[in-house]
Amino acid sequence: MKRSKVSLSKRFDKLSTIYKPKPLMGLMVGAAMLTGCGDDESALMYYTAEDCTAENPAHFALCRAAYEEALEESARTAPKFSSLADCEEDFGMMNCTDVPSPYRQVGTYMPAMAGFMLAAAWFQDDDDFDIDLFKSRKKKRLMPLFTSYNTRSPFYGRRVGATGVDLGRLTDRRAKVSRSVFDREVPTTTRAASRGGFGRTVASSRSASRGG
Amino acid sequence: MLRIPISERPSWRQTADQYGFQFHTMYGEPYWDETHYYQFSLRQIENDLEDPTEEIHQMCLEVVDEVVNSESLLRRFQIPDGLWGAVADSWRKKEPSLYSRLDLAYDGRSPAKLLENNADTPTSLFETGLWQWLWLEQQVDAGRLSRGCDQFNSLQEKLIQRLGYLRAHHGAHTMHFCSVDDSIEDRGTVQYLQDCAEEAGIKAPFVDIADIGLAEGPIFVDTGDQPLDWCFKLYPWEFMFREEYAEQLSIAPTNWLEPMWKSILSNKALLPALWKKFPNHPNLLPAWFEDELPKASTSALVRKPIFSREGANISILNNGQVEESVEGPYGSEGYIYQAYHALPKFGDSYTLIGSWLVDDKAAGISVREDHSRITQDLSRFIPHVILG
Repeated sequence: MKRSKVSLSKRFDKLSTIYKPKPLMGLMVGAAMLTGCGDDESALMYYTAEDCTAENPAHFALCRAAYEEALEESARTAPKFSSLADCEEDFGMMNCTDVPSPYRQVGTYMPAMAGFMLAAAWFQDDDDFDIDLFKSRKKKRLMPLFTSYNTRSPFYGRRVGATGVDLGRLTDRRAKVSRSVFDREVPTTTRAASRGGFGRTVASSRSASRGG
Repeated sequence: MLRIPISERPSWRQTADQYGFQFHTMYGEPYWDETHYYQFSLRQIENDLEDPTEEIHQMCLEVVDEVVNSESLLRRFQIPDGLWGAVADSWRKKEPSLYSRLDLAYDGRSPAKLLENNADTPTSLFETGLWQWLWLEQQVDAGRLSRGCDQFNSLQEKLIQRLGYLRAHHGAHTMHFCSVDDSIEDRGTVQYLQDCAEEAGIKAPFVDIADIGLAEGPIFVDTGDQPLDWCFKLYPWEFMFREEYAEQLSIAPTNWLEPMWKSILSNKALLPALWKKFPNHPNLLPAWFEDELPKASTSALVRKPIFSREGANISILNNGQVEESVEGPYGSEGYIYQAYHALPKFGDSYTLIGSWLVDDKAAGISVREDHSRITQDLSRFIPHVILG
């Protein structure tokens, strides 16, 4: 048998309309991906370093380092806006802040970090916390969280990651999340300076671009 | 290898609509033709097509390794010198590839001969991976084909598997897919790959190649300014290398499918380079660069532009006289010459085998027929079975 006899996926039925998908709109994807199946891990959510320390006095250094890392990550990945009004429309009054200079090429306003989420596993180790080791880790199992104070926003009263993943209520302390939530790399927010630098050859000759 | 008439499925056009197969008839001519099919024996498939396909692919990779290390060859392959480093890097970093299609002349008896390697932007993927398999299933269910019939076709499974591998081992969680938006065939091919990617757990948005933006960094972005981390492009490298953003290709961090080193394989200069490296290999035809053409040669030759698609600008020459040729926009980058090897003729049609690879594994075949000796974009796609 040259080919496994799998049944054709239902997915392919939807090919009936060859459509042009809408472009992704930064944070506004909003796909809830809390628990996957089986491959979950516990995570803890805090508003600030002090909030984290109050609950975990022995992990003072971890709380501080995690907060600072999350703050930096929030500047890198948060949705950016060119006007304060646009930002506040999505994230609510008094909830937007200036984008730190290294990330300002895309926009000057972004939602303030509402907290951070850290894998619970970090708190299980009572030995001396090695801050250099923490900083050198490529995957820290840590992410900044955002929320909206605009009651019409789907993120009102929720904690969401920069990809738009909904991680529960703003007041929640604990979450079970799929491991992939931490694994996903969140790109730096950007804005195109130009478009149309590819595609001209076909546009001009209208010869087939394909190879068959 | 037999060509056998068969009744069409009565409602195949409705089924095609349901699957979004919109280009089964183009310019009023049938493209998908199920009034007959080809039958191969398992021995023909395994010994004459599957094994040689993987072997030819390995030989091609050896040529890539040679070309990226030689300025004179990079020049012969018409790679712009500003991109030599980027092409070589993409090879040295072993950037993963997705798929290719080798075009073979095969008559069921003598060794299959490589006509060219469509390693960068092969199409007819949906027809091969899904549609001809559906034909087989439905014709077997209808009793028009024996239950013992099989097909050399693991293309869809292998594509999904390969895309899943790219997600798991190369972090391809989101992959943009782009093509020229106004070509229904290209868009259909890319949509099929998007569906395969989603099946593999990859988020797979579409972006028109002309809508790709360039942001500071530099990085390439989609219409929503999201960076292109992974990008499948059904658009040839030789075009991109000569367009406005070519310079940024070396530095922008996008992982492209196919990777840049494929520009060496989807290039007709591959053919003389292969012949030089593996002279007299049973699956290769003699081929020469223009300035290396043997003076005394009187045999029939095929002249192919370094860059050409869909048979465009290809001429069949005999004693230096053009016997048959196809018009087109290509040829400004020069030509290569390949010994003429007649395609087998079944009835009044010339038959060409497309042999697919996913990464380096043979994954199935497609059969095309044309009334002309030069297979073009309006050639018909004919399904096949394995029996015996």
